[in-house]
Amino acid sequence: METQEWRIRFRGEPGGGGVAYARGHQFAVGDPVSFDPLHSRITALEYLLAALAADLAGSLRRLAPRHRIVINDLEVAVKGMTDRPLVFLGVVGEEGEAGLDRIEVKVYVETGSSAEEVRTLWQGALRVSAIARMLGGSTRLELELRTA
Amino acid sequence: MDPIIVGAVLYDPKVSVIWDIIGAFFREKGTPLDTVYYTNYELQVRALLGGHIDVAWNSPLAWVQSQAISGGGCRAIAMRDTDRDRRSHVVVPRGGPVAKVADLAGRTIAFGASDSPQATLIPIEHLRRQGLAAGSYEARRFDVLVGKHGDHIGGELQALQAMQRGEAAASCLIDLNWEAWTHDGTCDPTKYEILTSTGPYDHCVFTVLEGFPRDREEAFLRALHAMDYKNPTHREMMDLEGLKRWEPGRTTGFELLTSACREQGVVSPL
Repeated sequence: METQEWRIRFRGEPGGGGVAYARGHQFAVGDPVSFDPLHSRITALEYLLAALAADLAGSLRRLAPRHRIVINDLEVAVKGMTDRPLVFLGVVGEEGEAGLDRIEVKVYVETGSSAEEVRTLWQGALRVSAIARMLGGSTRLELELRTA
Repeated sequence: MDPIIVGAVLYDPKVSVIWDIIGAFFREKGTPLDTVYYTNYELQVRALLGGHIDVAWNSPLAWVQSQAISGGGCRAIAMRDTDRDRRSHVVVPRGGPVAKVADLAGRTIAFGASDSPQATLIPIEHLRRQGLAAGSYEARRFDVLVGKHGDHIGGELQALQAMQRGEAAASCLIDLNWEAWTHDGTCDPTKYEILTSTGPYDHCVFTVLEGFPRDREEAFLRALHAMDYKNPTHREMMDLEGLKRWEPGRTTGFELLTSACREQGVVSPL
């Protein structure tokens, strides 16, 4: 089978941030990270966390039919944490490398199925969630499934 | 115009927001500005004197160090309105055993971080001038984030709390914190009072080397002084940084600290 590839093009803008182009779509990206609650754009780090959430949610939805589970509602809350925020800003004299120390993920799933059936679905979803698997290889990923 | 490189010391990533706002405004005014952050003032002073940055947002101690090490080769070009004529207070419990400075002899005095001008260096110098030599009392220092010259209020607050717990007869703090903490309930002014206050001194200052090109300095100051507290975006930054207006830099307000550094042997070669 041929290698599959996905492409993104990104044009930086003066002052930081820029626009990402993917196939026929485009979206604005802010700074790599921001400590300003009023930062005008979604940051690169926030896109990464959103991608993780969408990956897990999408995998659950994709695999649900084969488990004969109907998902009525689905929500994912993601929290990325670091103890070395000054490294992200390139502060001279600050030691260590930038990165998240851990990512907490809480997945809320409402179905008409039993908790055991949903847990089996969840295990399957984790195997096909590429972003979760990649991040889990470099960061402490704390995943929690809550069913209703 | 090449960007003007400004150095700033960060103790909290939220402080970077201040510089993001200043940088965006300077860009609008056609004066591009880049910021380099440092964990401590020693690194920043070294960077300024080494020509790695154009302008340093210096603590008063960093200003004194820059001048001492460069042999007077720096200029103070701008400061906040609130950097001018600050005072530090020595605070004691009301109705306690300490009614005058001499009563502190043999007792414990709580200070901020060892390199805090406002909560340690200047109060020690003031007490010395009042006849209370450094060895005649026990100095208890609260070394929170040493290297940041007392930017973080943690040391001052811990010193105050030590006095409130009865572990010290007095504590030292800047007037702005006394005003804030007696209004927000941190310190009850019916229980504690100012024993003595230092003379006025100046605080932070934008510092450049003598040879910094005048046209770049003028561009920097033109943009800086165009910041307006009535502008909501500027106000956010100015509130975070604690000012209403930028003022010209002056060097007349560092006598107390310069003397303190000399007496206490603080300034050392980098």
